[in-house]
Amino acid sequence: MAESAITTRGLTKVFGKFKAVDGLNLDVKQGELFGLLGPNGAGKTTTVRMLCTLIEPTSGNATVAGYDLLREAAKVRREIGVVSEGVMLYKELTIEENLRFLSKLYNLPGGEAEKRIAHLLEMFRFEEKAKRMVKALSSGWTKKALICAALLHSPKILFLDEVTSGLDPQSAAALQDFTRNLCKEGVTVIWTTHYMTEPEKICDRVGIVYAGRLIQVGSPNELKNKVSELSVMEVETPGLTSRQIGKIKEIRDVCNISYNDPILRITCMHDHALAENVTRILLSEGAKIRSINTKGPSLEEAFIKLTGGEEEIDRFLEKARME
Amino acid sequence: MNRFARDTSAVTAKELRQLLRDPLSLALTIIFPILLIQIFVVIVTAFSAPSYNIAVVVSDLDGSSKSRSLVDKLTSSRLIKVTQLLQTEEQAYHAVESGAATGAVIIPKGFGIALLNNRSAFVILETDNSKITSSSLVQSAVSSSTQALLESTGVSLGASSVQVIQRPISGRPETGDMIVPGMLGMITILGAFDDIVNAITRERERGTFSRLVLTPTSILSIYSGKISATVVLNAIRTTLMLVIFVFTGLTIRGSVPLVYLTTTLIAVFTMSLGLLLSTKVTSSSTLTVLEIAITFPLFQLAGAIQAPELLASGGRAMAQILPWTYGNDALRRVIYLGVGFDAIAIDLLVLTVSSLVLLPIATLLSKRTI
Amino acid sequence: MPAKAFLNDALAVMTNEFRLLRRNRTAILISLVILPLFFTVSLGGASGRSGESFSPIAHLTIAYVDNDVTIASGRLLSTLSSSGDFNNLVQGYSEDSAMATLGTGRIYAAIIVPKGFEENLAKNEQANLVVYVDDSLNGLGNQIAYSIQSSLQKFSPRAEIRPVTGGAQQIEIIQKGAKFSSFNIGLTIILALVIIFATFYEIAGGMSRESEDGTYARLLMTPTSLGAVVFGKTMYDLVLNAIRTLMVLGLAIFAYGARPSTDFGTILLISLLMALLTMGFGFLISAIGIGIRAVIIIEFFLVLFLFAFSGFVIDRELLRGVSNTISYMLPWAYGIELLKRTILIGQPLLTLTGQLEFVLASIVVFYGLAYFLLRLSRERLVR
Repeated sequence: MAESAITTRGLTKVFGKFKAVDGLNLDVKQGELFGLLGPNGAGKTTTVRMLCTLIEPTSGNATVAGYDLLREAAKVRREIGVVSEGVMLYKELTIEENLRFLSKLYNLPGGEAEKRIAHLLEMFRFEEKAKRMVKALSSGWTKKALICAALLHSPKILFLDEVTSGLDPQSAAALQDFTRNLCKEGVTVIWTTHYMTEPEKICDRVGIVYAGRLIQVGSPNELKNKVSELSVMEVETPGLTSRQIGKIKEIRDVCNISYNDPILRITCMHDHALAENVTRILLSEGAKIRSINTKGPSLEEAFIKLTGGEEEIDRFLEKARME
Repeated sequence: MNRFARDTSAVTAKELRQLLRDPLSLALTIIFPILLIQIFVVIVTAFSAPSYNIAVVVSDLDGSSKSRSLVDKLTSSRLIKVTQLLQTEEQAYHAVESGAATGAVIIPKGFGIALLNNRSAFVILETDNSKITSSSLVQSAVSSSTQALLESTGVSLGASSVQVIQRPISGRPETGDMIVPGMLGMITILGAFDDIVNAITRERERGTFSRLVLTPTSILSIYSGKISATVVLNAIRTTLMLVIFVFTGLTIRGSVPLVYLTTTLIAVFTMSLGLLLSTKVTSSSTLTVLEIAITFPLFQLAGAIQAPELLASGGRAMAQILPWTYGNDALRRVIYLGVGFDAIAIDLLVLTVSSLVLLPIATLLSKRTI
Repeated sequence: MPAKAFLNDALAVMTNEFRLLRRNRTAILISLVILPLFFTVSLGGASGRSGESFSPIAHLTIAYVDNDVTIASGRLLSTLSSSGDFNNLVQGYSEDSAMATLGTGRIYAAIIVPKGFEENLAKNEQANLVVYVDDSLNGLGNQIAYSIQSSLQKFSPRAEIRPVTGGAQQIEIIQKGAKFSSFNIGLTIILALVIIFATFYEIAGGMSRESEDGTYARLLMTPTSLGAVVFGKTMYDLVLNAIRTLMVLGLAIFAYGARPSTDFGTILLISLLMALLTMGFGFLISAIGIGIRAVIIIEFFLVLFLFAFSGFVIDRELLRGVSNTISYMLPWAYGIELLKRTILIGQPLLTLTGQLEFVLASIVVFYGLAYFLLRLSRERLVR
């Protein structure tokens, strides 16, 4: 059994009256790519900031890379790398200068630091951009620069907090591949995101975070199986009107409908007669049907079901915005 | 022209709305002059105190009745406090040199006999002249004590004397005012500088300036709108300051609208300069520091407190090329001397022309691409 | 943390600060050139070169209205003209025309010698001089009165009569004590101002900016300690203040002829102590977690506060009540005293033990509190 890279017990963080993280119990194995999935304001970033010693938990304890989070914070920092909002590079310095400065603070010997910097710059294809000041880089390149900085000292654990937001699909995909390769080399990665499709693609296990609590943990398939009573039907039917969609909603046991012309996606409890009922209604409304596909729930659907449904999520998001 | 006026007023309204939604900034911009003036009142009040406790030591090497009488007069002086009576001259000098006392009075041996024999006598006064005001007060105290001693012994102070009768023309109180018109000028300058930092550099940093320049509106309209907003804020500051003036007993002899006109032109010029600086200095904090660094020397050179006519020749030359000097001068003459528009027309013209020169340059230098 | 690692980290932080400064030409210009230059030049403009005595009113046009037209009034005119304070006395005004012209800027005062001036003096009675002065110009009235009184010391109505003031018997006051030009006195204030102003902004403003930019969080994420960060920034700013001290003194000495009564090393040491004091305070303020704008406002009021209570302008012993108490609690006031007593009087630094102790103790207290608060407010600063 792989050793635990991160263990938390009852980790809690309260800001004033607001409980951002509530009694988090987590075990992340070494070399694992662990996803923390949840909407904005769920407590993912707060969890990351606690685990990388930026802020102290209100209660609970944790060990990161084998060191106690509170008593051995300096040792924890030597073993982790972080890409997170609010942990930035000096904009008036080049990426090279930033890395050189950080290498001194991480006590990397001179020769080793230079080799490591050169390797990272080559790996991320900085080339001539290495001489540009960070403020002159686009957001995508800045992200890459932040990742370089996080990897500079070869950390055992890497926290990537919402790292693909703002990136184009190709860059996001490349980053996902890169991260998987890192895990193969033994680095433990905590990947936080609110994009539901991401953890499904890359994570070994996913923790669903909602309202500060860890709702479920498991591999993407395990989580989807937890809601295996759900069925998903995709119908290719162009030009549906809202009246027609309304008729579909009236079918019993339909959990969720989304229409992105021409794909109508219906989630419902297992219903053998669903395909028949939907087809009948669509035809009677004069809709054109090009194809029908039935499959199991996605992680997003599992997330919605496990966290109490869309209305509950909307309520939570509204509350988070007001706070 | 219509377009220009429309755009300008839209920007002005936006500026004022933003300020109203930012209570802290609004409070600062209004309360700031009051706080500043309180500090100046503290400074000035020190000079009008009825008595002081400036430490002075005395070494009476004579021991005669005359010398003791002089010591009594020094002790009862309201300006100084005799803290020690020392035995030797060296002790007295040491007290001043070590900073224990600001002055040391040494009454030499033979003092009393000289006075008894109707001859001139002398005392030695050592002062710590690094304390300008205190040392001159000590000198005054010793001088008046010696005069009092002579008078008390029935000595005629001279066959004749000339009395100087001073007749000021402004009607200001003899002790002077706690707050002077130049401070209104300085508050206007500081306020306008603060406005420019908010108006331009902070907008640039937030990215909302690029939003403005992407519209069809011209840079000149944008700048004019921001200057107009400052004019409104300046009117509020001027009103507050005039209220403070009245409460502190300063009589405004001239036309109040002229005061508003003058401070408006000072603010407009300061904004124009600030706009010019902001084309080169894009960080709001750096610009603020630069503007404060400019403002402090202005206290000395632009006639805020002391008349620029009393500066050394280099200072007078610098004062003459600073448009703010003309603004402060106009304020002084309107408030103290009650002069009219004709008398300050040239001062106002200098401010206006300076603004008209700087504003187009600032507009030209300002980059549309952010 | 081992000492070597601590020093290495601090050195890395210091080097990084210089690297950042190098990229910000405006900051270099303002902090190291404009600030010392503006302040020193304005002082020189206001008070003239060191050692150069000038009369503030010598150049002013002052009307001399002689209604007496006697030998005595003529001699008075000569006495005033040769005093060095009245180089621009003009005649030809009547009392009425002088009054009408006052306030326009064409004349600044009018000295009226009334009819009967000589007669009164001859009869050993008091004679009067009336001086109308444009007192809307702050300071002018006092200056003119003082200059006239000084000139009267040497005035005698007839060649054979000795000067009028003083009688057969008088008590002469022999003044001792080093005299300094206004420039030299102003130099101590300017030096302190430049250091305090720039240092507070660099430290408190710098920390605030780092917090806002996210680079403070970056620093805290590394194994380096908070102490090393603070020490590194302190060393950086000490270097800048040494340069600033050099700039101000260089200008003062070479452009304005200032002659400090102590060596450069002593002045530098005191300047750096003042800088350390301000840095400690700056770190303390930054621990509150305020934005850069609030920092600048605090800085402005700090400087004004120091003006009022630190002996910059008013000697501390002249302050009353609460002002006096505040003044004796402000560490910078002791720093100013150190500067004044060494630069002006030449008192050896080590004899100023009281002031040194207060300054050093305050530095320790500020830094201690700052370190404690920075640790406590870590969360607020890593936004």
